[in-house]
Amino acid sequence: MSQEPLLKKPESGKWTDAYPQLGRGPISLDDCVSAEFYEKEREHIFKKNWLYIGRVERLPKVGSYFTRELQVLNTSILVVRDGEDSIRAFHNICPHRGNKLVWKDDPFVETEGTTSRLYCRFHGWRYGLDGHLIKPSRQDLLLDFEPGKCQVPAIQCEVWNGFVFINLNSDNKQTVSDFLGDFAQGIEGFPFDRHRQTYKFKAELQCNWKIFMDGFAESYHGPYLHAGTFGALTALAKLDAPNQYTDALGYELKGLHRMFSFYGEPSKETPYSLPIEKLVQAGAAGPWNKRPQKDPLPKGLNPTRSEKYGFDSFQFFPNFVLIFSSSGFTTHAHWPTGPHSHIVEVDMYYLPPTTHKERIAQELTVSFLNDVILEDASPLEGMQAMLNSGAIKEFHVNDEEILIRHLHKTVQDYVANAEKEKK
Amino acid sequence: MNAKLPDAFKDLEYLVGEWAIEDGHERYLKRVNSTMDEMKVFYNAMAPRGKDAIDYLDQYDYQQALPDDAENLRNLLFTLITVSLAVELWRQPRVKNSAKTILTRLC
Repeated sequence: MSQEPLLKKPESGKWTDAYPQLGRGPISLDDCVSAEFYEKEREHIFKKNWLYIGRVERLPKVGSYFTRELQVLNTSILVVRDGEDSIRAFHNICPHRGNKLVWKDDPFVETEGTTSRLYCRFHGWRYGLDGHLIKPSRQDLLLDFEPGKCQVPAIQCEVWNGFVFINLNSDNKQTVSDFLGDFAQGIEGFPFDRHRQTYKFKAELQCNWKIFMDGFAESYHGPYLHAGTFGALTALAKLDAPNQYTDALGYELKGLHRMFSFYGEPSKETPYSLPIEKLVQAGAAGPWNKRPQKDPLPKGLNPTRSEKYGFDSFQFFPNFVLIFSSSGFTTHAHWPTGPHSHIVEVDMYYLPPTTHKERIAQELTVSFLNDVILEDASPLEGMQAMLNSGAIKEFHVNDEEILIRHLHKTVQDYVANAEKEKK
Repeated sequence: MNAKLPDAFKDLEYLVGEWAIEDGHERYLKRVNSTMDEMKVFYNAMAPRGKDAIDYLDQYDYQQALPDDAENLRNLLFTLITVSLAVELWRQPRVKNSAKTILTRLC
């Protein structure tokens, strides 16, 4: 790996100075409160852009499928592997009379499985894994009927490095790779498919999806909100001065997307280590005294080329966060369920343990991260409730909160431009 | 599954029925639905044996299924991890300032 940094702080000492078009004043928070804005966000952002909906490992063989109940899109999505190298997505609906095609027991609960064809339980019509009609039942009853016009409605679907994306905009011409842009190019080569040990969490939280993303877009809150979990950082934090432990190593914005790179010591014992950490020889940042990585990192990771590099977090527009750490990679997907609520899905992908000791160490890391996420969750719900009061109209965001400024500006500008085009 | 533990841990078998919980979400629910006193009884019995238990399990090939008694011991260690964060870090069953919110662990 080249030691030349890809990313440097502007000489002025403020990251925001690298992006003059971004502004420096307070930013409107209406996009987190207004029900009207939420409807526009659904229409222009969620229904028009590539959205990450799951890893390809969920579809191990031809005929494997899973469904996604995505309220924000007002539809259920069926994702199917119909060939060795072919994954397709559909609206989960039978084109005969509109029955929901694939579900078990409860039509509003996501499901997965394997099948040789798509079968509608209502009238027994059968479709291939590519969505074409194989056979309606009772062909003797058909009237003016064109089988070609009766197919399971397809949705654009593409796989990038094992990440399955869909796009409801049938006019879209951009590939996922083009959409994700330079950040994605920079992480090409990461061995995603080797990280097959998965730990998955999910919760519906009573806050706008952007409020939660904001909480994971800066580490400036670390020594305050996480005083309990990051004892070492809090004790060492010098207030009112640059803080090497909590200031990000770097922030970068590229088009609709953004990232930050964060400090980290190799995971090891500290004066603040808990007895359980000493027992298991691991902490929130992973197993202690891990051997240094043999493979070089892709060029886009650790962009400041810091020796004290901990993790990188990429926020891909609109709702997909991809985090790289010494334990592996983690995805956060944020699915609005209303203007003031969303489902967050946190999926951790680690290298498979080779010993029981390693498995137990991962269990502590995962349990710890679960608690850290909860430490963020309730305060964010309280915050949403107060934003809804209308008592304040703007956020006062500082230089370490540059990604928050960028997320809200990007979303607000995107909606405003799309509204203009509509007129 | 029976409630047996490997010979060296026989004296802990009384914990198995209540505390050897394999499923991550069930384990978390056990934590938030227990009192600190209940958890401390388990913690005080299990934590001092943690190192021996890890060393015992590590003799087994990870690629092979564990025998039932070792699996029970592994599940007690998993629960020890879940409970330790309550005992050592939060000093209460739930994460501090987390109200009633929990995450659903799917796997």
